[in-house]
Amino acid sequence: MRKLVVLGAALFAATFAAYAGVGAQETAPVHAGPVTLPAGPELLALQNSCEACHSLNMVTQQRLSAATWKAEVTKMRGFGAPLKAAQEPAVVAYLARYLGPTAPRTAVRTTATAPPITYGEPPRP
Amino acid sequence: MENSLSRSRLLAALGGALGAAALPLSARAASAPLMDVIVERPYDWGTPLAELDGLDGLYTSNRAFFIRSHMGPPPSIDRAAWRLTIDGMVERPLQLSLDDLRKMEHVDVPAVLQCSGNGRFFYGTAFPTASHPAGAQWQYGGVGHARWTGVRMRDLLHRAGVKSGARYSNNYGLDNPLLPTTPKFIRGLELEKLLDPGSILAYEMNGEPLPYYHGFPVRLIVPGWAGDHWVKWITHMTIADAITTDFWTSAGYRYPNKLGTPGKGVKPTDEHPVTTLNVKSLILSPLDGARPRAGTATVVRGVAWSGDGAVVRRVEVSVDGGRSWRDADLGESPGRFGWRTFSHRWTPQAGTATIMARATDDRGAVQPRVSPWNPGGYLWNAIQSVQVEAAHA
Repeated sequence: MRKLVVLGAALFAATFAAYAGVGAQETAPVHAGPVTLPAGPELLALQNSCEACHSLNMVTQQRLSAATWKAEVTKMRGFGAPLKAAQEPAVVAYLARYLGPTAPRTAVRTTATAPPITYGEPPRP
Repeated sequence: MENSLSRSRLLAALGGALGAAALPLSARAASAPLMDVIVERPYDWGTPLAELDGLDGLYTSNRAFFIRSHMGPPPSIDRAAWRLTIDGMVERPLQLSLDDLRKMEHVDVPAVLQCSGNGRFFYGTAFPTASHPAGAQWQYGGVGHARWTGVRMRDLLHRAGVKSGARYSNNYGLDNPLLPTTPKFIRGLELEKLLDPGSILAYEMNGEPLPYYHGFPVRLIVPGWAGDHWVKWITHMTIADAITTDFWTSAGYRYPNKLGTPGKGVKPTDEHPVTTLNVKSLILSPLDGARPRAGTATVVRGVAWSGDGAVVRRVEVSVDGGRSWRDADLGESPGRFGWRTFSHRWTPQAGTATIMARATDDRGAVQPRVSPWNPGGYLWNAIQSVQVEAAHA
């Protein structure tokens, strides 16, 4: 029982640490076309908050003003993205700095083979 | 094979009936086409321009058809257990199996399916310093053309008996969000549109069962209206006197009542749902960056369509960046909701050329140079530019 509690506490601590951005030094920068997102607590928060439901390239392909990024982040927190309210201003500032309207944007074409046609269930990877 | 394929596509593009007869249904789908990855997961994958007419030179193959996801597909669907429920303000609520639907009279509807955000990327090109519209940065490939087969919604609504005062159908699919706090994708729309004989519940796409990613076993077809109405994996339609207030209808997929400053948001209460598509054309060949042979005749060809039953009646092509325009030859219209092909013979001179196409529909709507900026980045239909460089062999 005691073991379980300790394990639970460790899991909670690990999860909390991830959400809180502790351990940011372990992340690598993300290269997204012409833009590089530097490593840091904001990037880690984005990875932990966004990637549960969608790939990070949903974020990195956009070029939004600070006001629009704030609206998006607020919307996604409402949808359940596990980003703490305290982290929001820093994350919005980071997004606006590196993924603002005038950040470079080239049409890097990423292709993949079309998934096979299936019926009763989605194709298995 | 490649020779006969090119020939049949050329003939189809030129309006020849021979092209349509020459190709087996899935000739190109078998070769595992590449898709343009817009969002890696859940799939927002676009159809490359060269694949848009890959089926008979007129339709998009099921395999290469673009995929747009809100939540990703349901984990699995039991065909035998699947039911469609129509309830709410009806005299006789219906619960129908796939076999029940297949026993009813069916129709074929050729129709263009386009994501309302197709072309969103180009708002950022046209208005480079304003906030770009938020959302997946679709360029050309969030569109496709298929022959949909199924049961008319008007027959089903007649069978259920719509009560007076009912105006909307609020529609649910089997796909669910990962988190309970994320709003489920629910889409409401006017019954009046569902009474159009082109509005169907489709169980076939291009003569084959509806593929999983396209809504197996049944999806709603709302031709002439943007793709968000075409609910996939549909299982429940509630007839009501009010449209759903769920997120995707009350806040998502809305267009400003009054156009504002580029880059500035608009309150959802000052917006209305995006419904009808608008007049648009795409050049499928030559592709941007192509190097045609100077002095040798070639063909500029593509497809053109409009929204809500308007039919394209004219496509003009320019090979000098819009300074002069010539009428292109139009292929036959497959119906009020399909796209038609266009083609224009052209002999390039050595050097660079900018090719453009401009469609006009039978209500007089013409493609603009730039579409008006709107916060959602919807309904981009501006004239496309293709740069080529012709050289002597």
